[in-house]
Amino acid sequence: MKKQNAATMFKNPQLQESIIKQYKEAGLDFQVKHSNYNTQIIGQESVIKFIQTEHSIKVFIAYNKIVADLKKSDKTVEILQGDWSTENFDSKNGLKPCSYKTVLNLDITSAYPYCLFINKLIGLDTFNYLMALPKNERLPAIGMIAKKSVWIDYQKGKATTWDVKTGEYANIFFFVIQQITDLMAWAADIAGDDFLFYWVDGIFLKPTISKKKLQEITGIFAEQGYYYKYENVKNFSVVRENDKLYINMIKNGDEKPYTMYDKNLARNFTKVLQQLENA
Amino acid sequence: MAKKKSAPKYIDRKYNYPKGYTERGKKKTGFAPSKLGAKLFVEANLDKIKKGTLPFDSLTTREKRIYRGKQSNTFANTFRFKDKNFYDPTGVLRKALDNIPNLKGKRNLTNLLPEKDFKEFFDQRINPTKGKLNEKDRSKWLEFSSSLYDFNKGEKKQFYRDESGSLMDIVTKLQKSRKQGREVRVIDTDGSIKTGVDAIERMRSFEAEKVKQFTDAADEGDNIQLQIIYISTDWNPYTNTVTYNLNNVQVNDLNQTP
Repeated sequence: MKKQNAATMFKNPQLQESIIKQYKEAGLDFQVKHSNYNTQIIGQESVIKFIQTEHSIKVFIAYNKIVADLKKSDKTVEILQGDWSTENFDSKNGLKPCSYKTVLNLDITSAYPYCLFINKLIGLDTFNYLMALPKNERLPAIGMIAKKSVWIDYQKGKATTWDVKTGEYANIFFFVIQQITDLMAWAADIAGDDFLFYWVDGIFLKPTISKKKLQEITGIFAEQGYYYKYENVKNFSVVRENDKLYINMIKNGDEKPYTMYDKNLARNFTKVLQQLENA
Repeated sequence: MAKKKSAPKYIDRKYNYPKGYTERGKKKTGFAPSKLGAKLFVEANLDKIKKGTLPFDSLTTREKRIYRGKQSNTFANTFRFKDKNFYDPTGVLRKALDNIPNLKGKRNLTNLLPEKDFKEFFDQRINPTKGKLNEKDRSKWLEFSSSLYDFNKGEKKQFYRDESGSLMDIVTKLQKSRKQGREVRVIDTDGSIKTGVDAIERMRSFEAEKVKQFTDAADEGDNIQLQIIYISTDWNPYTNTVTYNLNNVQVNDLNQTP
């Protein structure tokens, strides 16, 4: 049933909390929905929506086009049944604190739309529509397929039930993440000692990497159907604090900090313990 | 007369600094000092020498010596984490690491393992009962735990030499032990603790005091035969550190021994 009153505001946690508190104190029946994109307080007579960013209608059109194509794709069912990792970064095993005046950064161009297209999950029309969107609209359109929301029901001001709703095609998004991560890990493996770290669809390599290795990496990107570009990265530095890595750089003229944990430490330690168990 | 042992003379090759080599943050190019060059050469070619692709006989005397050192158990089982050395007498960690391709042969584990877990592992997981000293190891430690003096008052002090011709004064021996990867810790007579070079220096001055005490009491030309035994040697297998307590030292005047 459509609510009579609706209001949309930008995210304001304090205001959200005070409204929920008021509803609870008044003993009302209402629902609260929290998602990556917004929080909605759905009352008997009104809906109050708090949004993070206001997306253009094109984002929703693109999302609907993707969903429509996923419904038609032969590969969707198979991929939905898979188990895909969502970890999309890694660093060199044993990465030491270091600094370089310049670093080689290879970025896959429009990695996620290409991945959907290469894997025949979307058609050419949807692909072209996505590619026509600016980057800051393209990513949310694809990310929406992994939407997840928590619904909490309140009756007479008291929370009674809660439920987590995940987008029907969320696993497709995770599949895309893993495909790109696998490609990055492959490139990292070829780079060997010249590998520094990768983050989503971009890999950072030591400036001393040989031409041969670089050709092998770009050859694999091309062979898999992806385009890539070199980005201008200067003043690269890595600072380590136990398992935390603080990476700073100037990328295309802008300062870009990354903070990640070094997964290799725990990974190595687990391997050592396994070896000792087996000894 | 015992044959005088002179410092080994090495016939070295010329070594270039490896590409990209830095020392204290500065890039180094050109010729490296022979001592460092030989070490870097052996480290870079360790696998080849092991496999025989680079014949052992083709190495210089210094390189052979460095290679032998790197093949020793003490070397292989001494690990570095940040600024500390950890010695695993059980050898289990080395075995475990060598079965993991990324960690094979690694000795400096900083940036490779989580600090807290690694330290706990050394404290708890390596069972100390597995690290008990065997007779061979024990005798190695005793080798470093006593000094012998034999000289006539007024003449230059002479130290005993062992069968290999090595001097048997404590400083030479402790320096040798440090080269083998063992650390020295001294509990001084006032209870303060000294480590590393300071510890060796304190052992030297302690011995000098004892020798002087006996020399002063002797007449000119008297023979002085002195044995100083450091009884309380305590060994920490995890850091490969020996502790000498200067409050527990036995000084034997061998001329007074029946």
